Amino acid sequence: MANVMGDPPMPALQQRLAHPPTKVQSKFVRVLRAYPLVFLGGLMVLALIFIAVFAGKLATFNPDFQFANGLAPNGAPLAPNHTFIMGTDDLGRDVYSRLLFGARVSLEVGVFASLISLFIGTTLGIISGYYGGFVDSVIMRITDIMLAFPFILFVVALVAVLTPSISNIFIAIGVLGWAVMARIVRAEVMKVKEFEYVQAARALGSRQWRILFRIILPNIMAPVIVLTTLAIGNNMLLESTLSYLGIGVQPPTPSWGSMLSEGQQVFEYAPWLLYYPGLALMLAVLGFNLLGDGLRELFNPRRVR
Amino acid sequence: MSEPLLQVRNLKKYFPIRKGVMRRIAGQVRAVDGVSFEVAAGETFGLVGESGCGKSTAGRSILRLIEPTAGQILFNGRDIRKLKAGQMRLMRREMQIVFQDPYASLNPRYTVRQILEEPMIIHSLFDSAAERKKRAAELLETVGLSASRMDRYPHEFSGGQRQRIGIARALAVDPKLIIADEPVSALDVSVQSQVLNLLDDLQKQLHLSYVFIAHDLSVVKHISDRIGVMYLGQIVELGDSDELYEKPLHPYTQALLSAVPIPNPEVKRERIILQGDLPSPANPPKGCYFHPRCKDVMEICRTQTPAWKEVEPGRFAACHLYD
Repeated sequence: MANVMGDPPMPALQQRLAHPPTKVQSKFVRVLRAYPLVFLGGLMVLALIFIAVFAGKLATFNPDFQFANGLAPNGAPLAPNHTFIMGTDDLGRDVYSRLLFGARVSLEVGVFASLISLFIGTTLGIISGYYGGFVDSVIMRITDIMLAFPFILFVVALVAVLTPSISNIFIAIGVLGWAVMARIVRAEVMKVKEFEYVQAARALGSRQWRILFRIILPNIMAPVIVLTTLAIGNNMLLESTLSYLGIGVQPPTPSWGSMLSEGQQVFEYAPWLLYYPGLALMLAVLGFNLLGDGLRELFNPRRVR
Repeated sequence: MSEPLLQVRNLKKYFPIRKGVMRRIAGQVRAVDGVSFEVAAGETFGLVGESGCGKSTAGRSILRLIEPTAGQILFNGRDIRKLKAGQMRLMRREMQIVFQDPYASLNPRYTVRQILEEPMIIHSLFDSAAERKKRAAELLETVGLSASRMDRYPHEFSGGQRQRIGIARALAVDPKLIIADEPVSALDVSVQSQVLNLLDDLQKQLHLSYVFIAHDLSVVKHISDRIGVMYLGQIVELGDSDELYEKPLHPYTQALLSAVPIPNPEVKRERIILQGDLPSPANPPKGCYFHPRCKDVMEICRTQTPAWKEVEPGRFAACHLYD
């Protein structure tokens, strides 16, 4: 710049930024800082998956083997010791190994039941929410009926008809448990379909499947993922309930619910038979709930920016 | 004048009011109640009216985003209400829409490039992804945005930039007609004029026709060749933009225009303040719909619906004052 007067020497610019540039963090890091429990929940879930996958490697014994030296001379279970680190049950089996294999059953039922519910609930919810009218009324009345039944009783009845096995348990839970998912998906679809970008897609001549699956579905995934995560925990609990009632996983396959049920009979002199499976169940469900709650915050655009 | 590009004849959209468990129809909201107008090629037709008068519903009915109850919509002489789904899909290449809210009109999960390529994919306009990308870049440049930013998401852009993206999406299929549904009312005043000028430039370059829907009269006057004034689902006055502003015929138009601020405090003028609220379109007044709020109301207005007539050459109104 031409300046006849001559520029005065520029003083070094003293800058003090309100937000120093080094503090730019990814959304992931910010969410973790704001909600450290998500991290904890995620770790617990990862640990559970690890245990379930590598149960065979981590277990010290065959979970179904009845050890001759696994019972005290009077026939009582052994308390935790060097050989059996969580003690033995009333048949002389290693509690630690059974607990690890029990994680497999719980996770399997929890995940597959939730996936079945997810599939049925999302499909019906989208149809109901997008098309509305008579179809919507029919689907919602069926949903009301599903929700009006005592859920556990319904599952018990269905499992009894199907004969108890791991796959029948998750099929029963999954096929009966979609109602809440359908309602939430329907509400989300009804909200999203009014957005102008959906109208714009219609104005551009998109086919209906494209609008439903390429435009609406991705925009309703956040609550669906949260709900599915929470449902896995719930369904694990439900599997334990069924096994505890004796119509779940059949002996000798180890399940946390059946371990609780068997341990209950000798609880007075072998309390570890309730402590360990009870604790495992609590931690697993807690992990999924923390993760689900955390994801809800993560997907909530108003909370963390 | 040759055959107009778009002819709307007696367009009606009634929404049913349902009541009770059986959801029987208890009444109707007459959102659009017999609207007729024409748009020539290269022309801008402005549609003004206060909120709730049915102008947006009319715009969306023309595109069949809302299925009209009755009436004809002739595009190049073909009634688009009679088209089958496949033909309608082809017709959508000819007429597009730009929405009011640039925050709701772009899919938040798509990048700008995906948003612009979507219409090309739907209509199989190009064979290769490279050609589509090139076209998306061209479109962005056309609306004054840098093509280097096409892999970003809509939330990374400002309101005015998003509206430009919305316009680029509408242009992607090379339409002849664009329905602009309050395209600038959600924007800052400084950005409004930029977007209006862009629309103006695009019209000249691409020989587009616009149906420009707005409630802001100064905006409509700036951009429109002819204007239709809507009240309670009906057009009450229609005419050349300049003439209509100079000498409004219908008392409603007069009241509307007297509300436009003049940027000069020295100018004194009489303001016509409308009394009462907008009547419910579910239960419109008898006779002329405007009579309960009209300053020039006469006895005949309360009982008889005024006819639509040409008051002066090229100027139409529905009012008993001109009987």
